[in-house]
Amino acid sequence: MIVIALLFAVLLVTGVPIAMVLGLTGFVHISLFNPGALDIMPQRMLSVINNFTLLAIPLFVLAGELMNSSGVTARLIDFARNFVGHLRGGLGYVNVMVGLFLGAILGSATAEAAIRGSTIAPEMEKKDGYERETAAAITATSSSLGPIFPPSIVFILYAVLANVSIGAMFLAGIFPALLITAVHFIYIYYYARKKGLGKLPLPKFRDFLISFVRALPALLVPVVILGGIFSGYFTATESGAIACLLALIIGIASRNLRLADVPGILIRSGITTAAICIIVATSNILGWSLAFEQVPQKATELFTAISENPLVILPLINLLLLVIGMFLDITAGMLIMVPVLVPVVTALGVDPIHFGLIVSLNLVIGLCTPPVGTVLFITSGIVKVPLHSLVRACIPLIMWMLVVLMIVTYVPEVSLYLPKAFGLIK
Amino acid sequence: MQLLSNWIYRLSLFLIAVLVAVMTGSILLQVFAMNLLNFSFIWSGELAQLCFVWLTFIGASAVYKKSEMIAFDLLLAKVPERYRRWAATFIQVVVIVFSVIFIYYGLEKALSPSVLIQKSTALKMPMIVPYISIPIGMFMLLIHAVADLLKTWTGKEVKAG
Repeated sequence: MIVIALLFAVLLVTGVPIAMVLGLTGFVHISLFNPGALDIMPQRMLSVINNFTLLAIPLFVLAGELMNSSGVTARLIDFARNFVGHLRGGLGYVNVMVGLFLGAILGSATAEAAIRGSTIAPEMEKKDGYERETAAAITATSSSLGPIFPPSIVFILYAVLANVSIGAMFLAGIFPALLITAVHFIYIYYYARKKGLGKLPLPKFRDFLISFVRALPALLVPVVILGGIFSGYFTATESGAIACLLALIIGIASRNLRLADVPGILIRSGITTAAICIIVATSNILGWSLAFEQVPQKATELFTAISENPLVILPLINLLLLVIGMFLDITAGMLIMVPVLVPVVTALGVDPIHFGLIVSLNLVIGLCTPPVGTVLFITSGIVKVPLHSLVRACIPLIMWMLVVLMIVTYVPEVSLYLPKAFGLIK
Repeated sequence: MQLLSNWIYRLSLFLIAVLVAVMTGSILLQVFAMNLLNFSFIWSGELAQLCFVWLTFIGASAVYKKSEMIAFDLLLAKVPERYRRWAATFIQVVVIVFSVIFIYYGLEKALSPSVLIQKSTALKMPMIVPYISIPIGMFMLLIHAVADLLKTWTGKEVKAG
Protein backbone atom coordinates (compact mmCIF):
# COMPACT_ATOMS: atom_id res chain seq x y z
CA MET A 1 0.00 0.00 0.00
CA ILE A 2 2.84 2.40 0.86
CA VAL A 3 4.57 1.57 -2.42
CA ILE A 4 1.39 2.47 -4.28
CA ALA A 5 0.89 5.73 -2.40
CA LEU A 6 4.53 6.66 -3.06
CA LEU A 7 4.29 5.84 -6.77
CA PHE A 8 1.10 7.87 -7.01
CA ALA A 9 2.71 10.85 -5.27
CA VAL A 10 5.90 10.76 -7.35
CA LEU A 11 4.08 10.51 -10.67
CA LEU A 12 1.65 13.22 -9.64
CA VAL A 13 4.14 15.86 -8.50
CA THR A 14 6.46 15.33 -11.47
CA GLY A 15 3.63 16.54 -13.69
CA VAL A 16 2.63 13.29 -15.38
CA PRO A 17 -0.93 13.69 -16.73
CA ILE A 18 -3.41 12.52 -14.08
CA ALA A 19 -5.01 9.98 -16.42
CA MET A 20 -1.64 8.19 -16.68
CA VAL A 21 -0.94 8.56 -12.96
CA LEU A 22 -4.20 6.80 -12.09
CA GLY A 23 -3.88 4.14 -14.81
CA LEU A 24 -0.29 3.23 -13.96
CA THR A 25 -0.88 3.24 -10.21
CA GLY A 26 -3.84 0.93 -10.74
CA PHE A 27 -1.72 -1.28 -13.02
CA VAL A 28 1.11 -1.60 -10.48
CA HIS A 29 -1.34 -2.17 -7.64
CA ILE A 30 -3.04 -5.03 -9.49
CA SER A 31 0.32 -6.49 -10.65
CA LEU A 32 1.56 -6.63 -7.06
CA PHE A 33 -1.50 -8.01 -5.32
CA ASN A 34 -3.58 -9.70 -7.93
CA PRO A 35 -1.54 -10.31 -11.12
CA GLY A 36 -4.09 -12.77 -12.48
CA ALA A 37 -6.63 -9.97 -12.78
CA LEU A 38 -4.61 -7.67 -15.06
CA ASP A 39 -6.77 -8.42 -18.07
CA ILE A 40 -9.71 -6.81 -16.28
CA MET A 41 -8.21 -3.35 -16.92
CA PRO A 42 -9.64 -2.73 -20.42
CA GLN A 43 -13.03 -3.90 -19.23
CA ARG A 44 -12.91 -1.45 -16.29
CA MET A 45 -11.96 1.40 -18.63
CA LEU A 46 -14.67 0.57 -21.11
CA SER A 47 -17.53 -0.19 -18.72
CA VAL A 48 -17.40 3.17 -16.97
CA ILE A 49 -17.41 5.10 -20.27
CA ASN A 50 -19.99 2.87 -21.96
CA ASN A 51 -22.62 4.54 -19.83
CA PHE A 52 -25.69 6.41 -21.03
CA THR A 53 -25.68 8.78 -18.05
CA LEU A 54 -22.08 9.86 -18.52
CA LEU A 55 -22.94 10.65 -22.14
CA ALA A 56 -24.56 13.81 -20.75
CA ILE A 57 -21.07 15.30 -20.32
CA PRO A 58 -20.14 15.70 -24.02
CA LEU A 59 -23.67 16.84 -24.83
CA PHE A 60 -23.67 19.64 -22.25
CA VAL A 61 -20.12 20.62 -23.21
CA LEU A 62 -21.21 20.90 -26.84
CA ALA A 63 -24.37 22.81 -25.91
CA GLY A 64 -22.24 25.30 -23.95
CA GLU A 65 -19.81 25.76 -26.86
CA LEU A 66 -22.68 26.27 -29.31
CA MET A 67 -24.46 28.76 -27.05
CA ASN A 68 -21.25 30.65 -26.54
CA SER A 69 -20.73 30.95 -30.30
CA SER A 70 -24.34 32.07 -30.73
CA GLY A 71 -23.72 35.53 -29.32
CA VAL A 72 -25.96 34.96 -26.31
CA THR A 73 -23.40 36.34 -23.89
CA ALA A 74 -23.76 39.88 -25.25
CA ARG A 75 -27.55 39.69 -24.93
CA LEU A 76 -27.37 38.33 -21.40
CA ILE A 77 -24.99 41.12 -20.39
CA ASP A 78 -27.32 43.69 -21.93
CA PHE A 79 -30.31 42.30 -20.04
CA ALA A 80 -28.45 42.09 -16.72
CA ARG A 81 -27.28 45.69 -17.20
CA ASN A 82 -30.84 46.91 -17.61
CA PHE A 83 -31.84 44.82 -14.61
CA VAL A 84 -29.23 45.59 -11.92
CA GLY A 85 -26.87 48.02 -13.67
CA HIS A 86 -28.37 51.11 -12.01
CA LEU A 87 -27.28 50.06 -8.52
CA ARG A 88 -24.15 51.56 -6.96
CA GLY A 89 -21.22 49.72 -8.54
CA GLY A 90 -23.77 48.19 -10.90
CA LEU A 91 -21.42 46.34 -13.23
CA GLY A 92 -20.31 44.14 -10.34
CA TYR A 93 -23.88 42.95 -9.92
CA VAL A 94 -24.17 42.58 -13.69
CA ASN A 95 -21.06 40.38 -13.70
CA VAL A 96 -22.39 38.02 -11.02
CA MET A 97 -25.87 37.93 -12.55
CA VAL A 98 -24.47 37.02 -15.96
CA GLY A 99 -22.48 34.35 -14.11
CA LEU A 100 -25.76 32.91 -12.86
CA PHE A 101 -27.33 33.03 -16.36
CA LEU A 102 -24.26 31.46 -17.95
CA GLY A 103 -24.25 28.86 -15.16
CA ALA A 104 -27.61 27.75 -16.48
CA ILE A 105 -26.08 27.24 -19.93
CA LEU A 106 -22.49 26.20 -19.28
CA GLY A 107 -21.49 23.51 -16.85
CA SER A 108 -17.94 24.54 -16.08
CA ALA A 109 -16.14 27.23 -14.11
CA THR A 110 -13.27 27.79 -16.51
CA ALA A 111 -15.59 28.77 -19.37
CA GLU A 112 -17.36 31.19 -17.02
CA ALA A 113 -14.12 32.84 -15.99
CA ALA A 114 -12.85 33.10 -19.56
CA ILE A 115 -16.06 34.64 -20.94
CA ARG A 116 -16.72 37.17 -18.19
CA GLY A 117 -13.06 37.94 -17.67
CA SER A 118 -12.82 39.14 -21.27
CA THR A 119 -16.20 40.94 -21.44
CA ILE A 120 -17.45 42.42 -18.17
CA ALA A 121 -14.43 42.55 -15.87
CA PRO A 122 -12.56 45.19 -17.97
CA GLU A 123 -15.70 47.35 -18.07
CA MET A 124 -16.06 47.16 -14.28
CA GLU A 125 -12.68 48.85 -14.05
CA LYS A 126 -13.16 51.35 -16.86
CA LYS A 127 -16.76 52.45 -16.39
CA ASP A 128 -17.52 51.86 -12.71
CA GLY A 129 -14.13 52.48 -11.12
CA TYR A 130 -13.57 49.05 -9.61
CA GLU A 131 -9.98 48.17 -8.80
CA ARG A 132 -8.83 45.78 -11.47
CA GLU A 133 -7.93 42.98 -9.07
CA THR A 134 -11.31 43.25 -7.35
CA ALA A 135 -13.10 43.03 -10.70
CA ALA A 136 -11.00 39.95 -11.49
CA ALA A 137 -11.60 38.41 -8.06
CA ILE A 138 -15.38 38.82 -8.32
CA THR A 139 -15.22 37.16 -11.74
CA ALA A 140 -13.08 34.30 -10.43
CA THR A 141 -15.03 33.31 -7.33
CA SER A 142 -18.44 33.76 -8.94
CA SER A 143 -17.32 31.34 -11.68
CA SER A 144 -18.26 28.67 -9.16
CA LEU A 145 -21.81 29.29 -10.40
CA GLY A 146 -20.92 27.36 -13.56
CA PRO A 147 -20.56 23.98 -11.87
CA ILE A 148 -23.04 24.62 -9.03
CA PHE A 149 -26.02 25.97 -11.01
CA PRO A 150 -27.50 23.22 -13.21
CA PRO A 151 -26.62 21.87 -15.72
CA SER A 152 -23.22 20.93 -14.38
CA ILE A 153 -20.46 18.62 -15.62
CA VAL A 154 -19.28 18.14 -12.03
CA PHE A 155 -22.75 17.04 -10.89
CA ILE A 156 -23.05 14.56 -13.76
CA LEU A 157 -19.71 13.05 -12.77
CA TYR A 158 -20.74 12.87 -9.11
CA ALA A 159 -24.10 11.32 -10.00
CA VAL A 160 -22.33 8.56 -11.95
CA LEU A 161 -19.72 7.95 -9.23
CA ALA A 162 -22.14 7.95 -6.30
CA ASN A 163 -24.93 6.29 -8.26
CA VAL A 164 -27.56 8.97 -7.62
CA SER A 165 -30.01 10.72 -9.93
CA ILE A 166 -28.61 13.55 -12.08
CA GLY A 167 -32.01 15.27 -11.93
CA ALA A 168 -31.88 15.31 -8.13
CA MET A 169 -28.30 16.68 -8.19
CA PHE A 170 -29.34 19.42 -10.64
CA LEU A 171 -32.26 20.48 -8.43
CA ALA A 172 -30.11 20.35 -5.31
CA GLY A 173 -27.68 22.86 -6.86
CA ILE A 174 -30.21 25.66 -7.36
CA PHE A 175 -30.41 27.09 -3.80
CA PRO A 176 -26.67 26.82 -3.10
CA ALA A 177 -26.04 28.69 -6.39
CA LEU A 178 -28.45 31.42 -5.30
CA LEU A 179 -26.58 31.59 -1.98
CA ILE A 180 -23.31 32.10 -3.88
CA THR A 181 -24.98 34.89 -5.86
CA ALA A 182 -26.29 36.45 -2.65
CA VAL A 183 -22.93 36.53 -0.85
CA HIS A 184 -21.32 38.12 -3.92
CA PHE A 185 -24.06 40.77 -3.96
CA ILE A 186 -23.41 41.48 -0.26
CA TYR A 187 -19.70 41.83 -0.89
CA ILE A 188 -20.26 44.16 -3.86
CA TYR A 189 -22.77 46.26 -1.87
CA TYR A 190 -20.23 46.98 0.86
CA TYR A 191 -17.32 47.37 -1.55
CA ALA A 192 -19.24 49.89 -3.68
CA ARG A 193 -20.26 51.91 -0.61
CA LYS A 194 -16.74 51.94 0.82
CA LYS A 195 -15.18 53.02 -2.48
CA GLY A 196 -18.02 55.46 -3.20
CA LEU A 197 -18.57 54.04 -6.68
CA GLY A 198 -21.01 55.85 -8.96
CA LYS A 199 -24.62 55.09 -9.76
CA LEU A 200 -26.29 55.07 -13.16
CA PRO A 201 -29.82 56.36 -13.75
CA LEU A 202 -32.62 53.80 -13.80
CA PRO A 203 -33.00 52.48 -17.37
CA LYS A 204 -36.20 53.20 -19.30
CA PHE A 205 -38.73 50.45 -18.89
CA ARG A 206 -38.89 50.14 -22.68
CA ASP A 207 -35.13 49.40 -22.86
CA PHE A 208 -35.47 46.86 -20.09
CA LEU A 209 -38.26 45.12 -21.98
CA ILE A 210 -36.35 45.09 -25.28
CA SER A 211 -33.23 43.63 -23.64
CA PHE A 212 -35.38 41.04 -21.89
CA VAL A 213 -37.00 39.93 -25.14
CA ARG A 214 -33.61 39.73 -26.85
CA ALA A 215 -32.21 37.60 -24.00
CA LEU A 216 -35.35 35.47 -23.80
CA PRO A 217 -34.20 32.58 -26.04
CA ALA A 218 -31.03 32.19 -23.97
CA LEU A 219 -33.03 32.35 -20.74
CA LEU A 220 -35.54 29.82 -22.03
CA VAL A 221 -32.98 27.13 -22.83
CA PRO A 222 -32.38 26.23 -19.18
CA VAL A 223 -36.10 26.32 -18.52
CA VAL A 224 -36.67 23.78 -21.29
CA ILE A 225 -33.73 21.60 -20.17
CA LEU A 226 -34.58 21.58 -16.48
CA GLY A 227 -38.34 21.48 -17.03
CA GLY A 228 -37.90 18.47 -19.32
CA ILE A 229 -35.81 16.59 -16.78
CA PHE A 230 -37.94 17.38 -13.76
CA SER A 231 -41.24 16.61 -15.45
CA GLY A 232 -39.75 13.27 -16.47
CA TYR A 233 -40.28 14.13 -20.14
CA PHE A 234 -36.70 13.24 -20.99
CA THR A 235 -33.54 12.08 -19.25
CA ALA A 236 -30.61 14.37 -18.41
CA THR A 237 -28.66 12.91 -21.33
CA GLU A 238 -31.48 13.57 -23.77
CA SER A 239 -31.92 17.08 -22.45
CA GLY A 240 -28.25 17.68 -23.27
CA ALA A 241 -28.92 16.80 -26.90
CA ILE A 242 -32.00 19.06 -26.95
CA ALA A 243 -29.90 21.90 -25.53
CA CYS A 244 -27.47 21.41 -28.45
CA LEU A 245 -30.31 21.62 -30.95
CA LEU A 246 -31.78 24.76 -29.34
CA ALA A 247 -28.35 26.40 -29.23
CA LEU A 248 -27.82 25.58 -32.90
CA ILE A 249 -31.21 27.06 -33.84
CA ILE A 250 -30.61 30.23 -31.79
CA GLY A 251 -27.16 30.62 -33.30
CA ILE A 252 -28.33 30.22 -36.89
CA ALA A 253 -31.47 32.32 -36.40
CA SER A 254 -29.47 35.19 -34.92
CA ARG A 255 -26.87 34.81 -37.72
CA ASN A 256 -24.02 34.68 -35.20
CA LEU A 257 -23.20 31.07 -35.91
CA ARG A 258 -22.01 30.05 -39.36
CA LEU A 259 -22.04 26.46 -40.49
CA ALA A 260 -18.31 26.75 -41.17
CA ASP A 261 -17.78 27.24 -37.41
CA VAL A 262 -19.50 23.98 -36.52
CA PRO A 263 -16.61 21.53 -37.16
CA GLY A 264 -14.31 23.59 -34.94
CA ILE A 265 -16.94 23.63 -32.21
CA LEU A 266 -17.42 19.85 -32.48
CA ILE A 267 -13.67 19.30 -32.19
CA ARG A 268 -13.31 21.66 -29.23
CA SER A 269 -16.09 19.98 -27.29
CA GLY A 270 -14.74 16.54 -28.22
CA ILE A 271 -11.31 17.44 -26.87
CA THR A 272 -12.74 18.91 -23.65
CA THR A 273 -14.79 15.73 -23.17
CA ALA A 274 -11.88 13.38 -23.83
CA ALA A 275 -9.66 15.29 -21.38
CA ILE A 276 -12.21 14.58 -18.62
CA CYS A 277 -13.33 11.11 -19.66
CA ILE A 278 -9.89 9.53 -20.14
CA ILE A 279 -9.33 10.26 -16.44
CA VAL A 280 -12.70 8.77 -15.63
CA ALA A 281 -11.67 5.63 -17.56
CA THR A 282 -8.25 5.10 -15.96
CA SER A 283 -9.44 6.04 -12.46
CA ASN A 284 -11.85 3.13 -12.68
CA ILE A 285 -8.87 0.75 -12.75
CA LEU A 286 -7.41 2.14 -9.53
CA GLY A 287 -10.93 2.33 -8.09
CA TRP A 288 -11.37 -1.37 -8.73
CA SER A 289 -8.07 -2.40 -7.17
CA LEU A 290 -8.67 -0.17 -4.14
CA ALA A 291 -12.14 -1.59 -3.68
CA PHE A 292 -10.62 -5.07 -3.98
CA GLU A 293 -8.40 -4.24 -1.03
CA GLN A 294 -11.42 -2.83 0.78
CA VAL A 295 -9.92 0.64 1.06
CA PRO A 296 -13.35 2.36 1.20
CA GLN A 297 -14.37 0.09 4.09
CA LYS A 298 -11.10 0.82 5.88
CA ALA A 299 -11.60 4.54 5.36
CA THR A 300 -15.09 4.23 6.84
CA GLU A 301 -13.69 2.44 9.88
CA LEU A 302 -11.02 5.09 10.25
CA PHE A 303 -13.53 7.95 10.18
CA THR A 304 -16.12 6.27 12.37
CA ALA A 305 -13.37 5.52 14.91
CA ILE A 306 -12.95 9.28 15.29
CA SER A 307 -16.64 9.91 15.69
CA GLU A 308 -19.99 8.67 14.48
CA ASN A 309 -21.50 12.11 14.55
CA PRO A 310 -21.82 13.67 11.06
CA LEU A 311 -21.51 17.11 12.64
CA VAL A 312 -17.95 16.17 13.64
CA ILE A 313 -16.99 14.16 10.56
CA LEU A 314 -18.33 16.52 7.89
CA PRO A 315 -16.09 19.46 8.88
CA LEU A 316 -13.13 17.07 8.89
CA ILE A 317 -14.06 15.93 5.40
CA ASN A 318 -14.50 19.56 4.34
CA LEU A 319 -11.00 20.33 5.52
CA LEU A 320 -9.62 17.31 3.67
CA LEU A 321 -11.45 18.23 0.46
CA LEU A 322 -10.42 21.89 0.65
CA VAL A 323 -6.78 20.84 0.86
CA ILE A 324 -7.21 18.38 -2.01
CA GLY A 325 -9.00 21.08 -4.00
CA MET A 326 -6.02 23.40 -3.52
CA PHE A 327 -3.81 20.95 -5.39
CA LEU A 328 -6.04 18.95 -7.71
CA ASP A 329 -8.44 19.79 -10.49
CA ILE A 330 -12.15 19.13 -9.79
CA THR A 331 -12.39 16.05 -12.03
CA ALA A 332 -9.35 14.36 -10.48
CA GLY A 333 -10.37 15.29 -6.94
CA MET A 334 -13.83 13.88 -7.48
CA LEU A 335 -12.67 10.65 -9.10
CA ILE A 336 -10.23 9.95 -6.29
CA MET A 337 -12.28 11.04 -3.28
CA VAL A 338 -15.92 10.28 -4.06
CA PRO A 339 -15.67 6.45 -4.21
CA VAL A 340 -13.84 6.48 -0.87
CA LEU A 341 -15.93 9.10 0.94
CA VAL A 342 -19.49 8.28 -0.13
CA PRO A 343 -19.54 4.98 1.82
CA VAL A 344 -18.18 6.85 4.85
CA VAL A 345 -20.90 9.50 4.90
CA THR A 346 -23.77 7.19 4.00
CA ALA A 347 -22.72 5.01 6.95
CA LEU A 348 -23.19 8.14 9.07
CA GLY A 349 -26.63 8.77 7.62
CA VAL A 350 -25.75 11.71 5.36
CA ASP A 351 -27.81 11.84 2.15
CA PRO A 352 -25.53 11.25 -0.88
CA ILE A 353 -27.22 14.13 -2.79
CA HIS A 354 -26.47 16.50 0.10
CA PHE A 355 -22.90 15.18 0.17
CA GLY A 356 -22.62 15.76 -3.60
CA LEU A 357 -23.16 19.46 -3.01
CA ILE A 358 -20.62 19.49 -0.18
CA VAL A 359 -17.95 17.79 -2.33
CA SER A 360 -18.62 20.01 -5.33
CA LEU A 361 -18.50 23.24 -3.31
CA ASN A 362 -15.23 22.26 -1.63
CA LEU A 363 -13.53 21.41 -4.90
CA VAL A 364 -14.96 24.46 -6.65
CA ILE A 365 -13.51 26.73 -3.95
CA GLY A 366 -10.20 25.00 -4.68
CA LEU A 367 -10.34 26.37 -8.23
CA CYS A 368 -9.82 29.86 -6.79
CA THR A 369 -7.06 29.04 -4.30
CA PRO A 370 -3.31 28.77 -4.83
CA PRO A 371 -1.07 26.90 -5.47
CA VAL A 372 -3.14 25.20 -8.16
CA GLY A 373 -6.28 27.08 -9.09
CA THR A 374 -7.31 26.79 -12.71
CA VAL A 375 -9.85 29.60 -12.51
CA LEU A 376 -7.30 31.81 -10.79
CA PHE A 377 -4.78 31.23 -13.61
CA ILE A 378 -7.34 31.88 -16.35
CA THR A 379 -8.70 35.04 -14.75
CA SER A 380 -5.26 36.41 -13.99
CA GLY A 381 -4.23 35.82 -17.60
CA ILE A 382 -7.33 37.23 -19.25
CA VAL A 383 -7.93 40.26 -17.00
CA LYS A 384 -4.15 40.86 -16.83
CA VAL A 385 -3.72 41.00 -13.06
CA PRO A 386 -0.61 39.56 -11.39
CA LEU A 387 -1.46 36.30 -9.66
CA HIS A 388 -0.45 37.43 -6.16
CA SER A 389 -2.64 40.55 -6.19
CA LEU A 390 -5.55 38.52 -7.55
CA VAL A 391 -5.10 36.00 -4.74
CA ARG A 392 -5.13 38.80 -2.17
CA ALA A 393 -8.29 40.31 -3.66
CA CYS A 394 -9.95 36.86 -3.62
CA ILE A 395 -9.45 36.33 0.12
CA PRO A 396 -12.62 38.11 1.36
CA LEU A 397 -14.69 36.44 -1.36
CA ILE A 398 -13.26 33.02 -0.47
CA MET A 399 -14.29 33.73 3.13
CA TRP A 400 -17.83 34.33 1.87
CA MET A 401 -17.67 31.10 -0.15
CA LEU A 402 -16.68 29.28 3.05
CA VAL A 403 -19.77 30.75 4.71
CA VAL A 404 -21.84 29.24 1.88
CA LEU A 405 -20.02 25.94 2.38
CA MET A 406 -20.84 25.97 6.10
CA ILE A 407 -24.51 26.70 5.43
CA VAL A 408 -24.72 23.94 2.81
CA THR A 409 -22.91 21.50 5.11
CA TYR A 410 -24.99 22.13 8.20
CA VAL A 411 -28.38 22.83 6.65
CA PRO A 412 -29.12 19.80 4.45
CA GLU A 413 -32.47 21.30 3.47
CA VAL A 414 -30.72 23.95 1.35
CA SER A 415 -29.73 21.14 -1.01
CA LEU A 416 -32.48 18.64 -0.34
CA TYR A 417 -35.61 20.79 -0.28
CA LEU A 418 -36.10 20.97 -4.07
CA PRO A 419 -35.30 17.33 -4.92
CA LYS A 420 -37.74 16.33 -2.17
CA ALA A 421 -40.40 18.76 -3.35
CA PHE A 422 -40.19 17.27 -6.84
CA GLY A 423 -40.31 13.76 -5.42
CA LEU A 424 -36.88 12.77 -6.78
CA ILE A 425 -35.70 11.61 -3.36
CA LYS A 426 -37.55 10.60 -0.23
CA MET B 1 8.06 10.69 -36.98
CA GLN B 2 6.80 14.27 -36.54
CA LEU B 3 5.04 13.96 -39.86
CA LEU B 4 3.34 10.73 -38.83
CA SER B 5 2.33 12.25 -35.51
CA ASN B 6 0.87 15.33 -37.22
CA TRP B 7 -0.96 13.20 -39.73
CA ILE B 8 -2.48 11.02 -36.99
CA TYR B 9 -3.46 14.16 -35.11
CA ARG B 10 -5.33 15.56 -38.10
CA LEU B 11 -7.06 12.23 -38.62
CA SER B 12 -8.08 12.14 -34.95
CA LEU B 13 -9.55 15.67 -35.13
CA PHE B 14 -11.65 14.62 -38.11
CA LEU B 15 -12.83 11.51 -36.25
CA ILE B 16 -13.64 13.54 -33.13
CA ALA B 17 -15.87 15.92 -35.11
CA VAL B 18 -17.71 13.02 -36.77
CA LEU B 19 -18.11 11.09 -33.50
CA VAL B 20 -19.51 14.09 -31.60
CA ALA B 21 -21.92 14.85 -34.45
CA VAL B 22 -23.18 11.27 -34.80
CA MET B 23 -23.49 10.92 -31.04
CA THR B 24 -25.57 14.08 -30.64
CA GLY B 25 -27.63 13.28 -33.73
CA SER B 26 -28.57 9.80 -32.62
CA ILE B 27 -29.66 10.99 -29.16
CA LEU B 28 -31.77 13.72 -30.79
CA LEU B 29 -33.31 11.13 -33.08
CA GLN B 30 -34.13 9.02 -30.06
CA VAL B 31 -35.83 11.90 -28.24
CA PHE B 32 -37.93 12.87 -31.25
CA ALA B 33 -38.90 9.35 -32.18
CA MET B 34 -39.89 8.65 -28.60
CA ASN B 35 -41.89 11.81 -27.90
CA LEU B 36 -43.36 12.69 -31.27
CA LEU B 37 -43.72 9.39 -33.10
CA ASN B 38 -44.10 7.16 -30.07
CA PHE B 39 -41.55 4.93 -31.63
CA SER B 40 -38.22 3.94 -30.20
CA PHE B 41 -35.10 3.04 -32.09
CA ILE B 42 -33.41 0.37 -30.07
CA TRP B 43 -30.04 1.14 -31.59
CA SER B 44 -29.76 4.92 -31.16
CA GLY B 45 -28.63 4.87 -27.53
CA GLU B 46 -26.12 2.15 -28.21
CA LEU B 47 -24.69 3.92 -31.24
CA ALA B 48 -24.28 7.10 -29.18
CA GLN B 49 -22.49 5.20 -26.44
CA LEU B 50 -20.21 3.56 -28.97
CA CYS B 51 -19.28 7.00 -30.35
CA PHE B 52 -18.65 8.19 -26.80
CA VAL B 53 -16.24 5.31 -26.11
CA TRP B 54 -14.31 5.97 -29.31
CA LEU B 55 -14.34 9.70 -28.61
CA THR B 56 -12.77 9.13 -25.19
CA PHE B 57 -9.86 6.96 -26.34
CA ILE B 58 -9.14 8.54 -29.74
CA GLY B 59 -9.74 11.97 -28.21
CA ALA B 60 -7.24 11.27 -25.42
CA SER B 61 -4.40 11.13 -27.96
CA ALA B 62 -5.42 14.50 -29.41
CA VAL B 63 -5.67 15.96 -25.89
CA TYR B 64 -2.08 14.85 -25.26
CA LYS B 65 -0.88 16.26 -28.59
CA LYS B 66 -2.50 19.61 -27.75
CA SER B 67 -0.83 19.54 -24.29
CA GLU B 68 -4.25 19.80 -22.68
CA MET B 69 -3.98 16.74 -20.46
CA ILE B 70 -4.98 17.65 -16.92
CA ALA B 71 -1.85 17.45 -14.78
CA PHE B 72 -0.40 18.82 -11.58
CA ASP B 73 2.26 21.00 -13.22
CA LEU B 74 3.09 23.32 -10.35
CA LEU B 75 6.55 21.88 -9.70
CA LEU B 76 7.23 21.29 -13.38
CA ALA B 77 6.94 25.03 -14.00
CA LYS B 78 9.56 25.65 -11.30
CA VAL B 79 12.15 23.29 -12.79
CA PRO B 80 15.22 25.33 -13.82
CA GLU B 81 15.73 25.79 -17.55
CA ARG B 82 18.66 23.37 -17.89
CA TYR B 83 16.75 20.47 -16.25
CA ARG B 84 13.59 21.06 -18.33
CA ARG B 85 14.70 18.55 -20.89
CA TRP B 86 15.04 15.80 -18.29
CA ALA B 87 11.70 16.61 -16.70
CA ALA B 88 10.03 16.46 -20.10
CA THR B 89 11.82 13.20 -20.89
CA PHE B 90 10.57 11.63 -17.68
CA ILE B 91 6.95 12.47 -18.46
CA GLN B 92 7.26 11.33 -22.07
CA VAL B 93 8.78 8.02 -21.04
CA VAL B 94 5.98 7.47 -18.50
CA VAL B 95 3.39 8.19 -21.20
CA ILE B 96 5.16 5.74 -23.54
CA VAL B 97 5.17 3.05 -20.84
CA PHE B 98 1.50 3.72 -20.15
CA SER B 99 0.49 3.48 -23.80
CA VAL B 100 2.49 0.30 -24.40
CA ILE B 101 0.87 -1.38 -21.38
CA PHE B 102 -2.60 -0.47 -22.53
CA ILE B 103 -1.96 -1.37 -26.17
CA TYR B 104 -0.88 -4.80 -24.95
CA TYR B 105 -3.75 -5.46 -22.55
CA GLY B 106 -6.23 -3.67 -24.79
CA LEU B 107 -5.35 -5.87 -27.76
CA GLU B 108 -5.31 -9.00 -25.63
CA LYS B 109 -8.80 -8.22 -24.36
CA ALA B 110 -10.20 -7.14 -27.73
CA LEU B 111 -8.96 -10.32 -29.41
CA SER B 112 -9.84 -12.66 -26.54
CA PRO B 113 -12.37 -15.42 -27.33
CA SER B 114 -14.87 -14.09 -24.80
CA VAL B 115 -15.01 -10.71 -26.58
CA LEU B 116 -14.93 -12.16 -30.08
CA ILE B 117 -18.09 -14.20 -29.61
CA GLN B 118 -19.93 -11.52 -27.65
CA LYS B 119 -22.46 -9.36 -29.51
CA SER B 120 -24.09 -6.16 -28.35
CA THR B 121 -27.78 -6.25 -27.44
CA ALA B 122 -29.26 -3.80 -29.94
CA LEU B 123 -26.90 -3.38 -32.88
CA LYS B 124 -25.78 -7.05 -32.79
CA MET B 125 -22.34 -5.56 -33.22
CA PRO B 126 -19.37 -7.70 -32.18
CA MET B 127 -17.95 -6.40 -28.89
CA ILE B 128 -14.53 -6.06 -30.49
CA VAL B 129 -15.79 -2.78 -32.02
CA PRO B 130 -15.86 -0.84 -28.73
CA TYR B 131 -12.90 -2.71 -27.21
CA ILE B 132 -10.52 -2.10 -30.10
CA SER B 133 -10.83 1.68 -29.55
CA ILE B 134 -8.57 1.35 -26.48
CA PRO B 135 -5.46 -0.07 -28.25
CA ILE B 136 -6.03 2.16 -31.30
CA GLY B 137 -6.31 5.30 -29.19
CA MET B 138 -3.29 4.25 -27.12
CA PHE B 139 -1.31 3.56 -30.30
CA MET B 140 -2.00 7.13 -31.47
CA LEU B 141 -0.88 8.33 -28.04
CA LEU B 142 2.30 6.27 -28.34
CA ILE B 143 3.18 7.85 -31.68
CA HIS B 144 2.68 11.35 -30.29
CA ALA B 145 4.74 10.59 -27.17
CA VAL B 146 7.62 9.08 -29.18
CA ALA B 147 7.55 12.05 -31.56
CA ASP B 148 7.69 14.38 -28.54
CA LEU B 149 10.60 12.47 -27.04
CA LEU B 150 12.54 12.72 -30.30
CA LYS B 151 11.78 16.43 -30.47
CA THR B 152 12.96 16.87 -26.88
CA TRP B 153 16.40 15.57 -27.83
CA THR B 154 16.75 16.92 -31.37
CA GLY B 155 14.68 20.10 -31.39
CA LYS B 156 15.46 23.37 -29.71
CA GLU B 157 12.16 23.75 -27.91
CA VAL B 158 11.23 21.52 -25.02
CA LYS B 159 7.58 20.68 -24.69
CA ALA B 160 6.70 19.88 -21.11
CA GLY B 161 3.56 18.07 -20.02
